[in-house]
Amino acid sequence: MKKPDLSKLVPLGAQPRKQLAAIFGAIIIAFIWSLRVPFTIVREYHRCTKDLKIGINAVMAGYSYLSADGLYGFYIVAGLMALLAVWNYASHFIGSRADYLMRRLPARLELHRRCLTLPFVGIALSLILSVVLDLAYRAIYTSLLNKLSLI
Amino acid sequence: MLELHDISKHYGFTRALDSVSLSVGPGELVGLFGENGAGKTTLMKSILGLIPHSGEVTLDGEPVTRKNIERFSFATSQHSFFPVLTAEDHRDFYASHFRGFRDKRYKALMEFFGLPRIKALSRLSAGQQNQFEVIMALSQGADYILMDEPFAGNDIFNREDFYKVLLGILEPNETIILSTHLIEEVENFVTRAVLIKKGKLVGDRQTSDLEDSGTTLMGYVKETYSYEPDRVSRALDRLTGEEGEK
Repeated sequence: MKKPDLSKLVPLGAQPRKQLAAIFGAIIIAFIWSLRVPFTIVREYHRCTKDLKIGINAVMAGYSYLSADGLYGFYIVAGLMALLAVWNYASHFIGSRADYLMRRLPARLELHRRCLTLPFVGIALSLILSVVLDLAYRAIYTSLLNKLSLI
Repeated sequence: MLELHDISKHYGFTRALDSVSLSVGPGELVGLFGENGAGKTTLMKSILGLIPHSGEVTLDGEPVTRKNIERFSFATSQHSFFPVLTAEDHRDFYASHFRGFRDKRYKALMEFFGLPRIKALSRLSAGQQNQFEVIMALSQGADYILMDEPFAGNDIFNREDFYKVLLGILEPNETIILSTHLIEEVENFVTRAVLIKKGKLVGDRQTSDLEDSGTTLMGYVKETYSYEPDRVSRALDRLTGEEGEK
């Protein structure tokens, strides 16, 4: 299968694979960081079941308290993507004024496509993942809360 | 026909261009002269729409937009290429974006200057970088070629040869607007001299008219700029006088 030509999605001279590796690396780190949310929920569930079993009244802490800053990593990644976009534009001013060439192209969106596509993909992936994981972690929390009410 | 109507530009409180109006027809070789800070670069950038300005720039009656922008090319001493890329990378990029890209001319000029094709441009000398900038402006396939101090840093032999080559390769419809301080060198190259001073157009003459009246281009520039011939001797007198007093 022919590999897609990613070089058209970054400023001329930039390495698309490097930018993609940085984006996915940051998203993976944010995902690993977010795993503390389900771990915290499960730990809280075990604490409550232990207390209930010895007759102490126990209530699971709220989801927002347990999830705390677990999903912040994705927002930080989204912020870093905005910085990547700024860097992509700024790279046209380093060592020359290549922006003069890009702004003279008949293709109106060429400069913006090269500067914004990958940061936008990074932001979209981060935000979508944060929503999906939030829903998944909420589902875990709700199921354990229901399980706890049966004890 | 390139027409500039009442172009003005301010940088803060500084007036860089003051109601400049000018028409440049196909095939003209226009020299744009003026002291540092006179507004030559600002005028070129205004033509290309690279900076916001008031007034109107039209090309054959149409405003300059993405539809007709490829009819302009631009060689600037600030360089508009990508330093990490090679000449060949640029050739491919230009060819894919500018329909009229002149590959034959590109190859001939690269050969003329003896520039390496597969070496990052950042590794070329300043003079070679200028040459490459000019080559791309000439090869883009534009009707109006704007050059802003293109030969700063080039030796005189390269410059002289280049003017000769340029005169040989230019087609009748190709127009050059060349901003330079090297007035005497371009005397035999330009067909029209446009003078700008403190953002205002202060002179506009055909070089053939100057020849007919027995005036040199340099003479015309000095006259228009109210050049004081005794300026240097007066300054030296003052300086040496001060030394003597001490």
